[in-house]
Amino acid sequence: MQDKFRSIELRGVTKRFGNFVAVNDVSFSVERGEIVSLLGPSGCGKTTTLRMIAGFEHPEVGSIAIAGQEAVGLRPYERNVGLVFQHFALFPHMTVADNIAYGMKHRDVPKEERPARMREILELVKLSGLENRRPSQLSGGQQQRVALARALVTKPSIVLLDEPLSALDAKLRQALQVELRSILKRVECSTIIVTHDQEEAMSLSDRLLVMNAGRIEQEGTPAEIYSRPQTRFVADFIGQSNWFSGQLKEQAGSNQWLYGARGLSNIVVEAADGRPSEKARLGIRPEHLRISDHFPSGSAQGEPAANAFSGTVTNVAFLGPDIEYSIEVDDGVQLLAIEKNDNRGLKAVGNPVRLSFEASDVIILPE
Amino acid sequence: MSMKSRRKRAIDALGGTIFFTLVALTIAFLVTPILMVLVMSFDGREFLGPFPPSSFSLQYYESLFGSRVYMAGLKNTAIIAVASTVIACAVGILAAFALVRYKFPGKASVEAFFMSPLIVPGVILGFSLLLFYSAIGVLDGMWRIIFAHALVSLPYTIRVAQTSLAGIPSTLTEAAMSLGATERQAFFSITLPLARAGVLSSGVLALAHSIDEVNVSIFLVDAYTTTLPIALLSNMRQQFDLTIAAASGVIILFVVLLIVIVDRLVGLDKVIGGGVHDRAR
Repeated sequence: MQDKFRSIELRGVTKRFGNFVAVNDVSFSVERGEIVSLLGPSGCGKTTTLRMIAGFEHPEVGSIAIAGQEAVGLRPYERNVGLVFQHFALFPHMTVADNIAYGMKHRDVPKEERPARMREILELVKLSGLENRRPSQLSGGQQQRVALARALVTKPSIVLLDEPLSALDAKLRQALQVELRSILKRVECSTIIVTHDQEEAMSLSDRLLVMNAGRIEQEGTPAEIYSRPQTRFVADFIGQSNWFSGQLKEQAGSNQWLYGARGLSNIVVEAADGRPSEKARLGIRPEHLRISDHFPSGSAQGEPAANAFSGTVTNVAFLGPDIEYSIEVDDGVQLLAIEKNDNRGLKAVGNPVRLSFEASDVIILPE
Repeated sequence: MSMKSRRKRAIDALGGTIFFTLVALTIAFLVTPILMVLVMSFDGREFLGPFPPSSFSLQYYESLFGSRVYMAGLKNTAIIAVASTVIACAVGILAAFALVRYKFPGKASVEAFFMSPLIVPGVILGFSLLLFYSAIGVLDGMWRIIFAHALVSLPYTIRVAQTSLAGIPSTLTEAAMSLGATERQAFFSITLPLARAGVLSSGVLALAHSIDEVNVSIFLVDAYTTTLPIALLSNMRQQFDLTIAAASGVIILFVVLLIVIVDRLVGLDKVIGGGVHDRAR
């Protein structure tokens, strides 16, 4: 059986370094067995938050409760937090087994229980047979798994991963993403992942906390954050968007608005709580722009169809699974559109194309 | 081959020749006197004659090992060297740890203060220590010299330990603490073992420094406690004979042994090289 409490709760945590506010009134909690990512650019306060949870930094204001117990003021070795460092921080003078046993020894795991736990964890991270190797004799992926095993073997209330995959090369990263998540889910350990890599965060976690300038800008599932970002920062940090500055002109249906901006006409968007004449930014994800070769014959003359532009291809980037087009629409505005590679050939630079999008596929943010 | 490239090659070759000649000369200048002393220590003549000796014997070794003064000096030197090395290493690594890992007010001054025995002339240090010891009542010659040697060796042990500690990531200590170890346990189980080459090399330096220390010790010896170098020095002024060469032979043998042992334990390149520990990756 696992412990009754398996969560952490931060309330109003603030940390300053001199005049610099590194973490500003941050509150969040992690449910038992949940994997949460703190995602943000470097300097956003995510690492400081992690170090405060681990006990290496102390907040000036706020409380951090680990498994129901107030942890502010406790030394790192007085709180049951597992930590996986960015560069793994394996003890180079110890074997894999000694590295893993270190925590069991210092966290007072009964001697007779240790061999079984060791076997179990080595099996879980697929390192059986390597227990007598030194860290320097292991590949990057294996080192990462030793670090994970070392952190998990003491059954911490919460495990913190600092940029867990950034020290590995791209190929390995993909394979380990899946494996890491399955290991964490199997041990049902509550996890906080600190990362600046949106792909890593989205693929590993149940929930994202996007941080910027010491604050949490938005929290939600990866899908919620991606499709309904609430700030320009979140929308830009997670994925790409084509942005327009304009206003909601008048209501065109339930939740539907006519949107006007320089160079755009006949645009209808969905906006849940808009007001007439409200200034608003319109964002369209590149993959939501559909590219077709010609205007449908009916609309070539007369009224152009809603939510469509005509433009010219100015650049083509072939990425394998996707093709990225830069398209200049009539007013000189450059848009980015991504199309799945369906093996039907690329559109050439200079080709006229038609771009369209669904009213529901847009991001509307107050100006 | 063009003229130009021929000339370039000639200049290169000349540079190489000059370099190797200089290196060879330096080695010869360092090694020849030591070899001469070794040979002279086996001189069989009763008087001080020119090099090389015409006959060989062990008479000066007999006189060295037969002399009560020299033997007492040798014993004292050994005790003082070991004791002062232990103190200098222990204090040195702790001071270095504080200087490398922590920020505190006055850190630069503390560091400069620790380095000051390098700058203060030994004669001044010896005399002031003599006054100081008398004032606080340390009268035993042995302890006076042990602490003095530890003090003089401290800059070396701190510097070497600093270099080796700086190469050990502090995340290793943090990892240990996140696994339940206290800071003290982390120091002894992680940091110290990783710095062992540095600790050992600072020990070698301190030992070597103590064995031939004269400047400071000369003020602190008393009627009952003298060291080998001081015994040799005062004896040389009274009656010059080749016992000093035999003593040199013994000390050279000891140093060679020390080097072999260190090489076996950690590898000499690490100790002399200053890189000093197995890196994590």
